[in-house]
Amino acid sequence: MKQGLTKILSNSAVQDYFHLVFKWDKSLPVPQPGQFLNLRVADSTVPLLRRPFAFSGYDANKGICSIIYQIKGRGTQILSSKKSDDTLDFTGPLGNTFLPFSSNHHNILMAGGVGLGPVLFFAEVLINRNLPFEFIFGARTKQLIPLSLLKIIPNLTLCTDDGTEGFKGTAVDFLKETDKDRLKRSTVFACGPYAMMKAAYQVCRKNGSPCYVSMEQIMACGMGACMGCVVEKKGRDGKYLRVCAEGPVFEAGEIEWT
Amino acid sequence: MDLKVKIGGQSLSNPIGVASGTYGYGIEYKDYLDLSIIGAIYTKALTLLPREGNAPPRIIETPSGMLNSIGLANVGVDAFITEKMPQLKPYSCAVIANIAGSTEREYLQVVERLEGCKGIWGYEINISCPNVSHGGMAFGTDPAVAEKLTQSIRKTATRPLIIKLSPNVTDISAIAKAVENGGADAVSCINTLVGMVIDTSKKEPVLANKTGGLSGPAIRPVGVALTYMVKKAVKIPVIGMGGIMTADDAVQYLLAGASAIQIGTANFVDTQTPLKVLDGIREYCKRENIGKISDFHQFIE
Ligand SMILES: Cc1cc2nc3c(=O)[nH]c(=O)nc-3n(C[C@H](O)[C@H](O)[C@H](O)COP(=O)(O)OP(=O)(O)OC[C@H]3O[C@@H](n4cnc5c(N)ncnc54)[C@H](O)[C@@H]3O)c2cc1C
Ligand SMILES: Cc1cc2nc3c(=O)[nH]c(=O)nc-3n(C[C@H](O)[C@H](O)[C@H](O)COP(=O)(O)O)c2cc1C
Ligand code: FES
Repeated sequence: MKQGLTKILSNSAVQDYFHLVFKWDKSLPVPQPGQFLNLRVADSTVPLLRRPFAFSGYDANKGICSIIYQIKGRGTQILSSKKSDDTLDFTGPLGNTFLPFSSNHHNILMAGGVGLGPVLFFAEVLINRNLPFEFIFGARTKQLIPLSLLKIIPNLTLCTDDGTEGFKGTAVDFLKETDKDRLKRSTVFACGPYAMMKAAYQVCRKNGSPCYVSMEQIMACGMGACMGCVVEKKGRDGKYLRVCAEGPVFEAGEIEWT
Repeated sequence: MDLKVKIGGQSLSNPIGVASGTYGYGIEYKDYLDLSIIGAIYTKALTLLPREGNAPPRIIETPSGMLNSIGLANVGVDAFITEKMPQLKPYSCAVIANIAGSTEREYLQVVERLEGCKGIWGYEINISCPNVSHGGMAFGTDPAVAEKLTQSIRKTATRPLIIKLSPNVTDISAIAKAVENGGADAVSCINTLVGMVIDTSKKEPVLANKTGGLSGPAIRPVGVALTYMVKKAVKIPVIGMGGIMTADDAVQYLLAGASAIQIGTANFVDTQTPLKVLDGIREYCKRENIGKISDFHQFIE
């Protein structure tokens, strides 16, 4: 965990997304899939707070990291205007990781939309370790699929809500059609819209498969100090978990889904 | 140049503090900054029992600021003493316990427990939390109630006693005078201002608690003005805060009459802020020929 400045190498639009690649010096802590950075996008008071983004990849040999993001509001708008050689002000790596995981289980990785980043990074790690996995990516329509970012994935299933590419339906619809016995022997890792992760968890629960999700919440410190970024813990007894400290990756059964 | 700050017969090595609720229990920041350079760490508000806090969302950014409705989520005073204090031992910064309660008895019970704990420098009594219905705000808005609470705590507290004032009152000077009469060694101001942000597409407040406390640069002019007014009203030291991001901001507070300052929201934005502000104050003192903190107070009538 560190606060520092690094150099942007590229910041390119890919369909509906931006792929930001930056230097990650070997002296910095090695980021793990699921972990995130908190970025200060401007040296001003508007926007004031840092913005959290999950690592989408790490190349130790080249000393580079990346994130995949989408323009939401002012902060991501400013981020999208950054050019190569610009400075990136970060804290991180923050939070926990999808690792370690049981390697004798079959792994199903699921990403919806801009939830792609951390799942892609996880896939990269599995590929490097020669571990098999299935990858399901869901988007609304064909135009929103960032194919160039997905090209490293061997076992890829694309889903579109409108059926313009691959399976017609959501990523969870596809998961439901997976062979029940295989699903029982699988662990699911998901990042995407809240509704998608909740639905994925419901399918997993029915089949007794472990399910891990990467949650989002508005953050201030990003390092466990402000108690701002909580989600409700399972049990309806008013207990909370900090996304930045206990998460962002949770066993989905820990969460009180609303 | 001597930047020491004297409060209640004890001293702080420098006027830089990190504000309650923005710095956890200090240790969260230990990988980012040498905690020993900080004059005082004010802990997250401690209550008698652990508190989970309010439902999320608890935070939303606002123009040059943020709203929070954490709801005093904390580990409770006992866990603070056994789990957090030992981890702060390696650092030479003063540890000031920020305390909240819903009754006078609860404040006193928390202070009693802390009295038995070594290494705590002093207490900052939060009579001004806007985020819980019994978060002490009632103690902070009525001078007579504030005075009586201060008196009771004074009897138990053998360490410096700081009362943290709310800006959400009509006359902050009256409250400041009342707690001075009650035996406070210093006052700190300001806590957050009540605010609300509404999501117009959902037609509902963004924060689950509906309202929250506004902090950050947006409130700085309010903090500076209230520090100035409080300093005029009392003889005890004033600790100023609200929106300090840079040394220049901190110097405004010192010129307005503060003897020490606290940095809150800025820690989220730049973990190096305490160090930068301390260095900047030193440079300012050198440049302006200021030898000690009280020299700051000679300029503004
Ligand atoms: C652990 C984590 C990992 C994330 N990873 C990615 C990622 O890889 N790619 C990506 O595009 N986005 C990611 N997000 C969401 C991203 O942080 C928000 O899209 C971004 O903060 C929006 O900022 P803005 O100024 O453009 O939007 P605004 O809506 O103007 O932001 C206002 C405030 O709300 C916060 N906020 C808004 N949306 C979110 C959200 N979904 N989650 C948390 N805070 C939010 C902002 O940080 C800011 O404080 C992640 C969020 C978290 C918590
Ligand atoms: C997330 C958050 C939590 C806070 N929690 C507390 C608290 O527990 N007790 C307290 O006295 N003040 C609390 N405060 C108020 C700060 O200590 C400080 O008075 C206020 O934020 C103004 O300073 P700033 O503008 O530098 O942040 C909190 C502020 C923030 C932003
Ligand atoms: S963002 Fe501060 S505790 Fe998580």
